[in-house]
Amino acid sequence: MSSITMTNKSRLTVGQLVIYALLIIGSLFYLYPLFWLLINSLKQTPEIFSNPWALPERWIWENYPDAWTTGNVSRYVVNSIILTGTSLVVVLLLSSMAAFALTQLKWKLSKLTLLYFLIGFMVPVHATLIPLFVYFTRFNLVDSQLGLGLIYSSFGLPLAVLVLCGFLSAIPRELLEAAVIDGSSVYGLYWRIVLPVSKPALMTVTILSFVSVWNELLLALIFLTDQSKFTLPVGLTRFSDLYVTDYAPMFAAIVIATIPTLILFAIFNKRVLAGMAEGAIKG
Amino acid sequence: MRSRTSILFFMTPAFLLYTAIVFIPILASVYYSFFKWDVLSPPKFIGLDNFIRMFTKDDIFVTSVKNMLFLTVTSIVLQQFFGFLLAVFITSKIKGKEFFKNVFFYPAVIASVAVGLMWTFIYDPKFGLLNGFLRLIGLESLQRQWLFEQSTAMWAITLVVCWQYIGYTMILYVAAIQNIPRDIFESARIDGAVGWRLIRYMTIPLVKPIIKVNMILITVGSLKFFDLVYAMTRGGPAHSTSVLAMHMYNRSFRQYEYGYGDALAVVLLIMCLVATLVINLLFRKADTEY
Repeated sequence: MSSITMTNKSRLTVGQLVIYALLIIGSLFYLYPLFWLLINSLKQTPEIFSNPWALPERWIWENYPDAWTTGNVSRYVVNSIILTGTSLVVVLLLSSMAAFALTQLKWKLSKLTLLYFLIGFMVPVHATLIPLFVYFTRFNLVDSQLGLGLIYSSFGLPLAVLVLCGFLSAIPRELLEAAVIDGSSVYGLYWRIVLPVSKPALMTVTILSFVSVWNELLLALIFLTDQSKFTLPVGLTRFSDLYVTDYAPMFAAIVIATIPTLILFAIFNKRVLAGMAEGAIKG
Repeated sequence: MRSRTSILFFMTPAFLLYTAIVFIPILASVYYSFFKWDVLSPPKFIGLDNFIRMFTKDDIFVTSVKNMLFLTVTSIVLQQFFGFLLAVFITSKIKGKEFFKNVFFYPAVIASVAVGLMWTFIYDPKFGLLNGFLRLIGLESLQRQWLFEQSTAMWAITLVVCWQYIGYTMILYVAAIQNIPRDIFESARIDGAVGWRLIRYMTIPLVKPIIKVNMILITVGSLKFFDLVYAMTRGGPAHSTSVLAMHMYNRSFRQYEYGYGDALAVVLLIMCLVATLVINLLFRKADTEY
């Protein structure tokens, strides 16, 4: 009996070996495609056809500037940054204000108002597309970063309000009461106490909104018709029309679209995992 | 402090934006689903004709719903199974938990369009990894034009969906398993529960709430599905990979049949609501067994 416990501690058990083996095989399914994408982005198109598996004979970096300028990827990246930035600012500001009112300034219908926002969870964005498109055309908001940004923010609101309400209702009342006694107005309370205190929850909302807005395709496809306004996902789908047979720059474009998100993911890794889990469970 | 003006000040912006962009358009969609409406002519009330047309005259609609159900069922089976399995592996006594977690999760944060295009290359008949791999292991007879054949295209897309989101399913289970107090597991082990029995009688019942969350996420996600189909096949070949969102997009914004598009959107909305409701009911019933 004791000898078994000894081996358990000092060496790997069969069970663990099997688990490691399976996890490593599984990882290959996830890492190899990425690696393959990278090496092919450094080849010339004929070499991709003749030798898709091997490392590049000569490393062709030109695919990147080619995709960046000729393929318009630089334009798409800038557009995506503006759009994501706008949506984030709007959603963070409005949801934190609403959550503050809903949790700290409770009034008769605050429960009902929260429920009203939660309807947004159940509704697929598709059910709003046509009326929105018709209104937006009438008010000249098609092809406008602000217009699309407002849509993203509105659909981000339910989750953001919910996450922030959960966090804000846990703020000790004494903290706010002390500030009121010190002469802080309700606006000062929000700006100087509530916002700084709720940083972790705001961070969660930022991550969730970033991932959904930065990657969004359907709305961007409908509400952006002018190529100079395209976001990265829309641009990528058009890239394949532009480079029908010249695959190498397209490999490069996909790498450009993927790497920044992966770097951000690597940096904020723990928070992203926790935030996305929290968002999903709340939703 | 609770003055009416301050409540209005903090509440109004979010309320107005949400009402104008989410709430009113939903009502408008439901309303116009009873109309014949395109860009050229004003809306004309036609009762349930749009819905009747869908089920009787629109073959692409039928194909889309079939594909959607296929995608939903296959995703539930594959993602729940592999997501849970990976979570059990990762929470067991191994090194490199963080590494494996991130490796399986990263596709969930990158754009579906990028994932879709990458897999379009992997499936490419000439230089793709998949056919290359089959040649390598001497199974040339299994080589296919994956995304260009009606018999394989939907499977090919479904596997990419699972590839992208298994990690998401997994981290929710990992979080749930790590939340189970250690001593519960220890006492179960002392009682002789190991391996499969431990999982069957301890882990699964204890993570039940997350099974439900994953079920809803995967189902609603599959019903709304659009991005990967658009990036990989645009619904082709011959509409064999069309899904409801794809069909709705084409009818509304390619053929400008707004009334019919709204009717399709309403069907999608109802399916999402019904699915969520049914899953909630199923799990409520199951809860009382314990």
